[in-house]
Parts: sequence; structure tokens; C-alpha cells
Amino acid sequence: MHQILMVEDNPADIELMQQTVRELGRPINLHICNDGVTAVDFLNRRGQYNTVPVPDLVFLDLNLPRRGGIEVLLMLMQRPETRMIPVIVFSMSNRKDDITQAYSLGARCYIHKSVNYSHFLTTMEQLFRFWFDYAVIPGGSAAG
Amino acid sequence: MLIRHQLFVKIVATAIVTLLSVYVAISTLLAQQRSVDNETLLVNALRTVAQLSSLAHEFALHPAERITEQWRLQQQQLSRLLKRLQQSLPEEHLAIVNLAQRVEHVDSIFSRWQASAQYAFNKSENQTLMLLLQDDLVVESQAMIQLSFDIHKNSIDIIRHHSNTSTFQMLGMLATLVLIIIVLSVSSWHSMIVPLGLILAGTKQLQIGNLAHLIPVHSEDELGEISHALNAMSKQLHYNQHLLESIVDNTSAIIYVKDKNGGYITINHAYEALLNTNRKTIAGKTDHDLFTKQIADVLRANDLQAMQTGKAIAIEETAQHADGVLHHYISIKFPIYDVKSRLLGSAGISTDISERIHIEQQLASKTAELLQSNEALQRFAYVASHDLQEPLRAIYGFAELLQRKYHDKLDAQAMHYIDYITSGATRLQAMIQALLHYSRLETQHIESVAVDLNQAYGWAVDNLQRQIRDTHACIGCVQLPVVKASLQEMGQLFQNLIGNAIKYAKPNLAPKIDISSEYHQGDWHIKVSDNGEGIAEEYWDQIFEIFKRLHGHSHSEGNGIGLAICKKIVEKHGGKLWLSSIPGEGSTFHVLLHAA
Repeated sequence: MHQILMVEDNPADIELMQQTVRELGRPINLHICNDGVTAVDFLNRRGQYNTVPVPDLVFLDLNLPRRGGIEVLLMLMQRPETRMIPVIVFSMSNRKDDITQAYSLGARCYIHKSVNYSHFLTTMEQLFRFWFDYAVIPGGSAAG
Repeated sequence: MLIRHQLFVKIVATAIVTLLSVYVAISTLLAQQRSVDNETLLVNALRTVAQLSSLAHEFALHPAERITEQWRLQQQQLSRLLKRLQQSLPEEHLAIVNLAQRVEHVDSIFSRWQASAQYAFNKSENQTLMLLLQDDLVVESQAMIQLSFDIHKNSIDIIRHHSNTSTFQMLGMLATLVLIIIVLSVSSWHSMIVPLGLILAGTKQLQIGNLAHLIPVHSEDELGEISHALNAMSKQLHYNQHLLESIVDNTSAIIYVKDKNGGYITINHAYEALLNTNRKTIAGKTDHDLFTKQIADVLRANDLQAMQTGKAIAIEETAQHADGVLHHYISIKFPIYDVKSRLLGSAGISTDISERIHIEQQLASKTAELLQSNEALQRFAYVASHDLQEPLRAIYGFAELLQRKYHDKLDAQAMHYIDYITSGATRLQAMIQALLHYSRLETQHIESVAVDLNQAYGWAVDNLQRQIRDTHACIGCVQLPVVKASLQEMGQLFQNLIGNAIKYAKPNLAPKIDISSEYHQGDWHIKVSDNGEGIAEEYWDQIFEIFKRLHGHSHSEGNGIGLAICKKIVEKHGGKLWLSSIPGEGSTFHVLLHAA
């Protein structure tokens, strides 16, 4: 079972992701944090999150309440324990500034959220295949 | 007549008259001398005659040889005197000859006497003869005296007359001389002294600066020339002064001249008006008398700086005037020197730039506002990219999910509605993307490199494959040039222009698009022509404006941004984009880009 932390405040996006995971039929445990502050707490396993697992992947939205995605990235990169977790940025923005900043701050991948659901489904299928079937990641085990 | 000629004539005339006068004076003196001599001669002659007469009387009483000898001596002397008198008194010639004859007669009486004395035959006869001769002698000698007195009297009159005549001549000459001197003096007074006085008065007027004064001397001599030259000089000076004053007093800038200690020497009209004073009142005052110490200290320091550096300095200054408002000036201050290059003080020209400063401040605040609104626009672009698209994604995504998961539970009508939702969302997303692209072009800098337009064209055609296939469009493209641009934006440009041509093709006619290029003075002129409906000239500019659409939704799927983006792309590259079209036949988009 792969652990994924999704940092997203938009319920529609959360629902779409959950639907996608369901549709793709992969053994994925999707954790949700609705803002940057709780996400940092989750990843540092603080407070109510002291028993949560270390996620294999983090899906990070840039546009978040309380603490923005870029800020979350910065905080994750400060601690060795969290720095190694692959962060995949999901954003509606295709601004060059956002993209370069995300990669410079250690994001492993930048995905432009597609408006088209079927396109999104294809993207997620490829993404899961890459990260879970081919790539070896610190938090989980490669199946390939 | 020139003065030197006048003077020459006057000197010559004076000399001639003087010489004449001297001549007359000398000749008068000589005449006087001659008169005196003649008188002396006459007196001598008279005395000699008297002696002769007395000798004759003596002889008549006591005849003796001794007396005749004395007579003879006296007679000789008289003859000499009479000869001289004859020369000098020609008027008395007859009388003198007469006298000489009388003397001769007396002399003959003497001779007869002597002869009768020697040859006396008869004493009584002799006695009688002697008596007769004696009487003759007395008579003759008396006549001789009488005659000589007459001569003397007449001669004295003549001599007096001569003397008087020469005296009158001399007096006449002297009078003429005096008259000529008076005439010359009066003439000199008029031709020299009076004009000299006028010239002197004129130069004094010049000295006190009254340049409008003209010397009223118009004679055609040297003084006339001098006054003419002086008048011309003062006219020129007056003109120059007037010109300078016109410049100084008609400018809106304030101009001032101060001495080394900061005391005002003079100021121009603009400054007078500003200070509500005049240049006479302000003379000698300093800036410390006019302004607050704080302001005056700065002004003085700037004056000193100009004097110390020895050249013009440009500085901004502030001063508060009667209106109570703080005026800003740009001042040019410079040292001034006298003709011997000694420092006199400083001068300055100050232009009121308060209005400009005010405008600059307004401009700065407007710029700040613009920057703010630009920031707001960028924020809007960011918001549009995230917040507008997120709900759109929900609409689109769930509509699609409904189609996928519930297609067997929904009827055809519901599925049709869902189609409306997805196509609406697609359009909305395209519009948002285009809008984002447009705002990005507005704010971002474009990196221009050498771009092969064939590559950009290829990229565009690839992206338009579906539309080309669907409409059976025929695109003819010759070899395109290399220009200075961004490849991505050029691709977008071709995609939009070709897409536009396909979109607005005539119904039931396959679009035919021709792309050509020609070189023109460092630029490439690229033409994209179609066989579409064409556009009326009144819309040629409008179609490039954002959200301007010439057709309704039903007609095409345009979003009103495509051509605006094209225009923005071309302008960002420093080029030009325009349209020419024949309605009913087609349109040509012209792109002008700098050659690489």
C-alpha cells in the first residue's frame, strides 16, 4: 500500500483525485491535508499526526490557504527527514516563474492540472506507473 | 565748408588785413616823419629867408662887403633848402620858384650895388642910385619874407592835410581789421563754438547713459561728421542696449546681478514683478533682506560657489515670495568680471520650475498608481490562472464523470445538457489561457534570437492538423526567412493567423491560404492571405482589439483574443501587423519583422 499525502484545499479536486485513484485501482492510501500548516505538521508527525506514516509521495497544490505551497516546499527542504520525500506539484498555473521556483526548491515534478478529466486520468496513470512501478523511492518499495 | 578750409581762409584773410594794416601804419608813420621833416625844412627856409631879409635891411642901412658875403652863404643854404622843398612839396612849386626868383633878384640888387660902388663917378648920382637900390632891397626883402610866409602857411596846411589823410587811412584800416576780427569771431562762434558746446553736452548725456539723446549738429564739416559719428555710435549702443534689455526684461525667467558681497546691482522686470519692487529700490539690498535666513544662506552659498569656481553652475533653488508659496527654481549662476577681468560679483538666471516639479510629483504619483494597477493586473493574472480555472476544472471534470459513470442512467436530453457544460468549460478555459497569454505578453520581456520561420510555421501547422483536415484547407507556403524573434511566439503567431483564416473561411469553400515573404530595408514583410469573406475597411483596426468580434458565437468558435495576441506578439518584437482586405474576396495579414 502506497502512502500519498495530498495537500489540497479544493474539495472538487480532492474528489476528482479520489475518483481517479479508485478508477485506476491501485493500492494507494490517500491522506488529505487542507492547508500548508497541517501539511507541515503531518510531514513532521506533530500533534494529531504523531502516528501517521511517512508518505511515499506528496501531491502539493501551490495555491493553499494559511501557508502556500512554495512555503511548504521551503520548510520540507529544511529538514533531512522531510527533504527526501518526493514532492510533486499540482497547479493550475503554467507561469514560468511558478514552474522554475518549484523545481529550484526541490519539487521532483510539476504537473499542470488538466481541466479535461480523461486527460487527467491518463496523466495520473502514467505518473503512478513511473513512481510506483519504475522508480525506487525512499519511503516505499519498487515493484518493478 | 570744412572747418580746416574755413580756418585757412580766416587765417589768410587775417594775415592779409594785418599785413595791410602794418603797411598802412608804417606808411603813415613815414608820412608823419616826412611832414615833420618838411616842417623843419620850411622853418629852416623861413629862418634863412628872415636872416636874408635882415641882412638886406642891414646892408641897406650900412652897406658892407662882410654882409654880402654872409648873404651869399645864407643864399646858398636857402637854395639847397628850396631844392629839397621843391621835391617834397610839389604843390608849392610855383611859390618856391617865385621865392627863388625874388632871392635871385635881391642878389642882383646886391651885385648892382657892388658895381655902382666900384664905378661911382658921381657921388650925388651914386647917392641917388644907392637910395633907390636901398628901397628896392627893402621892398624885395619884405616881399621875400611875405612870400616865404605864404609858402610856409600853405605848406603847413598841405602837410597837415597829408598827415590827416594817412591817419584816417590807418584808422580805416584798423576799423576794417577790427570788423574782420569780429566777423571771423562771430563766424567761428557759429561754426565751431556752438556745435562744440552741443557735442560736449551730447557726450555728457552719453556719459550719464541717456543713449536716446542725439546731437543736433548737422553741418557738413568736421564737427558735423563728429556729431554724426557720435549719433551713430549712440544709436548703435542704444539699439544694443535696447536689444539686451528686451531680452532681459521680456523673459519670464528672473535675472539678477549682485556685487561680491551679495548686494543687488540690478534685476530684470520679471524679478521686479515677483518682488513687487523696482531695481532702484532693491539696489544694495541682499538676499538676507528679502528672504528668510535659511533660504538666503543657501542662495548666498550658491553665489559664492559660482564666484569661486569661476564658471557657470546650474542648481535647483527654492525661494518664498509675497504669495507665500515656496517656488522651485533652476538657476544658472555665474561670475561676472569688469573689462580688466576683475571679479565684479555674480549674476544669475532663474527659471521657475514649480509647475514642472508639481507635474513631476503628479507624474510620480501616477506612475506609482500605474505600478500598483500593474501589480494588481499581475495578481489578477495569477488569480485567473489558479482561482478561475479551479472551479472550471470541477465543472469540467464532474461533467465528464457524469458522462462516464452515469451515461446509462441519464436520458439523451441530460447527456446533451452535459455536452453544453463541457463545451462551455472548454471555451472558457481556452479564453482564460488566451487571456493569460495576452497578459504575459504585456508584462514579460521577450528574448529575441534568430528564428527560422519555417520551423515556427511547421509547429503551427502541426497544432492545426485537425482543423486543416476537417476543412480541407490548402496552405501554400514558400521558403520563409530567418527573423529576430522568439520561436514559441512566432509559432503562436502563425497558428493564430492560419487558424483565423480557417475559422473565417467562406462556407462551402475550402480555405486557401498563401504565405509569402519579401525583404524590405532590413525587415521581412510576411503576408498571410486567404480566400475568406474579407473584412470591410472600417474594421481593419478593430479586429486587433481584444474581445472585439465581428461574428456571433454561432458562427465560429473565436474567443476575441487571438488577433489581439498576434498584434501584441508582433509589437513586442518591434514589428508591425496590419490588415488589408477586399470584402468577398479575402484578406491579407501583413507582418513586418526585423531580419536576423
